[in-house]
Amino acid sequence: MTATDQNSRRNFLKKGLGIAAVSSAVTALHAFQVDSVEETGEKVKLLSPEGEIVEIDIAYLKPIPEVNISPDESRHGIPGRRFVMVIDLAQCKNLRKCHDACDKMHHCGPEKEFLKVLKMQNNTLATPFWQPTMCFHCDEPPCVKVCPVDATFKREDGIVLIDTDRCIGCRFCMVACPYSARTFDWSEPAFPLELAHQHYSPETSVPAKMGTVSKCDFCPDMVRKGEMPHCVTACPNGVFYFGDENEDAVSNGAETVRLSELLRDRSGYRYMEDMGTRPRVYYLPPVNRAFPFQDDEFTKHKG
Amino acid sequence: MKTKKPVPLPYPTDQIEAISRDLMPKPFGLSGKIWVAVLSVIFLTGLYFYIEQFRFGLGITAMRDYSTWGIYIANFVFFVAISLVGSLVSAILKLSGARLRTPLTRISEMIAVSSIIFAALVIIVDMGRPDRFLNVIFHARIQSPITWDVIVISTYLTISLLLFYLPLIPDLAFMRDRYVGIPAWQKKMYTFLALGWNSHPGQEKILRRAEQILAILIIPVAFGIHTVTSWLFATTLRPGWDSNDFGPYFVSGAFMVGAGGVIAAMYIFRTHYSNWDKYLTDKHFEFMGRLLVLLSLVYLYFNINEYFVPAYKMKGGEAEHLRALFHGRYAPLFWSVQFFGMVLPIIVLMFRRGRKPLPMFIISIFVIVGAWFKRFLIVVPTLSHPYIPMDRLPESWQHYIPTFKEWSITAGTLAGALLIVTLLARFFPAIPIVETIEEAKPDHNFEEIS
Amino acid sequence: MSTIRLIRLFTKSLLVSISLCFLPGLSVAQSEPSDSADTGKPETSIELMYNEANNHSKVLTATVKTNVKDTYEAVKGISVNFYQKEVGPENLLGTSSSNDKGVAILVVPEDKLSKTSVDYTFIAASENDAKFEDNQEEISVSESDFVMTLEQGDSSRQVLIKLQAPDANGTMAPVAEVEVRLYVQRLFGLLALSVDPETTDENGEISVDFPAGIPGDSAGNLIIVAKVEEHEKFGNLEFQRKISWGTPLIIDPNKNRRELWSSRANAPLYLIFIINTMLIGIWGVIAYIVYEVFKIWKLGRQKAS
Ligand code: SF4
Ligand code: SF4
Repeated sequence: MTATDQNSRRNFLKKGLGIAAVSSAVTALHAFQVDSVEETGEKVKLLSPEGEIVEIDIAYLKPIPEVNISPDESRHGIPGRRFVMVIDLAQCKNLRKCHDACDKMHHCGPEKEFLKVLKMQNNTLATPFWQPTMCFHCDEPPCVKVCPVDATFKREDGIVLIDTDRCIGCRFCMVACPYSARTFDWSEPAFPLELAHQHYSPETSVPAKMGTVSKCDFCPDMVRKGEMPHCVTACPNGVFYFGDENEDAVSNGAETVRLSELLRDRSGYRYMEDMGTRPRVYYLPPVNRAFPFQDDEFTKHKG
Repeated sequence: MKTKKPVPLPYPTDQIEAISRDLMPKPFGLSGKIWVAVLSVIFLTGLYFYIEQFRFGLGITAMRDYSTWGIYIANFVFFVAISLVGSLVSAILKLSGARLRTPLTRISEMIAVSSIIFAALVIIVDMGRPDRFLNVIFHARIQSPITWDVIVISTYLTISLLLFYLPLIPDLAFMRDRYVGIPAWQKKMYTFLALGWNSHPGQEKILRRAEQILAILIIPVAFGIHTVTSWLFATTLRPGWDSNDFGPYFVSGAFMVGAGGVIAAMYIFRTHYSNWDKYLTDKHFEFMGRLLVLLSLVYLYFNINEYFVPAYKMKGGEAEHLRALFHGRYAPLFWSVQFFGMVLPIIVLMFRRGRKPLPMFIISIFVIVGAWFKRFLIVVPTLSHPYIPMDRLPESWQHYIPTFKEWSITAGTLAGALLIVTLLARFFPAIPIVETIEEAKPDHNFEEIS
Repeated sequence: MSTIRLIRLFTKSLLVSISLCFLPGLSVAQSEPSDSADTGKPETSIELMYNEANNHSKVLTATVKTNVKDTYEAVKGISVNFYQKEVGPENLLGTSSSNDKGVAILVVPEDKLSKTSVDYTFIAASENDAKFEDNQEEISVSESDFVMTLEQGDSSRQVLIKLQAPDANGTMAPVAEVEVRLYVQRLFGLLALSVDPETTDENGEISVDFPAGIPGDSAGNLIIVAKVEEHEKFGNLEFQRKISWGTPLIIDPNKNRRELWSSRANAPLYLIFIINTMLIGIWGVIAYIVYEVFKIWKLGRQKAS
């Protein structure tokens, strides 16, 4: 019988011993940080990674400088996670907010698209539907298999990334990907000057480099901050669900649902399952659609 | 190190004189100079555009995200293919004891060496980051067919160089001792390369053994190099490439174009140098003609397997690809290549009169050009038919039409390869002198060589 | 190095926590832009929320936005004064400035809170800002006692909720008919345990069996969250607790599997073996040949000398 008495707990916290219950990481941090941060005396209640409620001086909430993820670290991924995405085709009406947000955040320029919204039609009698596609972060990634220099790799959290500091630009991965998810910087990419000096990490995919491959990265930089990828948050129709398969939960911002139930109840499928690539992106079939189909196919490529 | 005494040769000296006069490498005549000049111009133009590509990226080509491989890769496959001739003539023919191969070996090794060097260069030309070439070694990932290709190409290049060099040693010694009126540096080069060869029985024994071992060793490596090259395509999931017999299909095609290359070179040497028709006789052409028919028939067989079987099924993405080849955008090229590059040579070479030098030369040009465009048809159309729909894309993204600069760089590599062959023939005898002399011996026993 | 790692961990936990504590729709009141004195400065809208967590800290969050071309955009760095009862320096609870999302947070200092009544009125006001028109927003909440207990029996796992509030006499009495939602904390949001909310009975209580099969972390830990959301009288109440009722996560023991798609360090052994055998075999022969060539050279020297 493990019943927790709320009163003793409450007193415990009230006595200001809360800090003692902080996870070891945070305690250790205090040791490092105590003299560098001026405490304001204003406290805020927060949840530590261990699920403890702790009170922390508000000074610690001030923006902490972005910490650079080393290339080595970005090869391993976020421990204990298996990221997964579900795309509800019934809700997609080709607003392309996902596409625009992705383009903007990854500085894709005029010819590059990580995320495409494609017009699909299963057969000539079926109504077409809109299908957002991107890298599916396959569990048996044919693109990673063929890379001669370990420039593209699959991480423990399921994400497939590219290290453009390593890539030799052979483009073998592009032909190996049956979903045409990868793009190439054929010429010197144009981006704002301040970006050129930004610390590069495979997790952000910026700044892009000429002669190398890039693609949708599942925004691990956002995920590390506990936020969802840009396409997910940009979609006003809640088409994208994103989450951790290990937690069996995905969220589209508005609601959080169990992944297994969602796929079971709505007949989730993966695009071209017979390729054997085992994508980490699932689709919910475009049945009982929220919108009538409207043909306004779009391409940014000028040719 | 220098030997005073010439290598002893126990034959009538006038015959030796005649043979060596005919076969010793000669300075370029007028036509030779024009030939070298033209090739150099093409090569340097390609180099100029390559420098531009190096600075500004592959954007100067017509390749884009869908057609991500283009004529550079087609050209690479072509070079690898034609380089297989070295193993075909100097190994397979040697081991099978074909009598007529002696004057063909050096020519084919020259072609093999120069084309494998350019295969390696062309793959660097295709790289987005040639400056990181060494990553291929320092970060080599053994699971990638590219790594296998790098390994097998460097192995094949080494063996080809040895197969070119070892049989050359007696000739080098021969020229060291008997070639008068050449610049001192050339003499020095021969002396250095001849390794003090003086027909010592021990030396002869070692050399014969080494050649024998190399001839055996090169066969699996040759099959390996082209099979692995075919795997660059066959290991992907793309329609048209996702095939199980790509290895033998590529190898058979390679032997065919290799034979074509030797025939073309034979004809050019024979017409260019006086008296060479004594060494590259109609019999040799007859022999190569028969060989080419055989190889073409094998290739035809693989083509039928490669196209007919999927065409019978007409499955999904494969069907779209085949339609483009059979009666779509690529049909004119596809049918011309199949007819002029494969069917026509078979028909012509079936006839005795077709196996005369001139018709064979024309046919061999068909075979070579056809083979180049066949590589184009293997590489390009597949990438124009990805699984995801691409009709939203502009025309230039859907269809790949190489740019002038891209063609120019490609032409530059082809010219460069020819230039290497030309320069090799300028300084080294394209037909083995000592071996020819030996075979001219009345009691020469061919069997003992093999 | 380890410092950086720790800072990162810390940043992450903070950010996760902020989004979890304050984001999901806790709005209680929202002010319309005031149409009073026109000073030419743009107007703001303030959304004020009251949130009480684990029956302990009272937190006020004011979200300040302004209308830019028909969309509301967050106002960053504006300072917000929080008052109780009414605006006036003696009633000031504290001041906080808004973050990138336009959110200003104040943990109500218990010592400044006047406990004369069980009902509180809180006001968030932006005053004398250089860029924006003054604006304020007010909410009223009542004192409450919202507690979640977790009980583990031999075969049962129960979540017990009790909600009480002071009655007219100031003594604690159960509150019935209040909707409570139960969640499990997930990485990007709260996973509801049931479709419909539970409702407190006449004892102010709810008792729910915790379902089996919800994944936890590697120790089976998960965080259960009970919430009263946007209650007209109590505001947002939240109680969360970590417990190991989840299915423990088994991290793939073969995470460094040797696959064709693994990194170069994890190449399949058979591949390493085959390729190296072939390499050694073939290059061994090549080396032998080169050695033989060397012997030719040596034989040539012997004869010459
Ligand atoms: S979708 Fe393509 S690029 Fe992405 S992991 Fe799969 S094969 Fe690789
Ligand atoms: S293009 Fe870059 S990432 Fe792709 S296979 Fe080649 S080296 Fe690897």
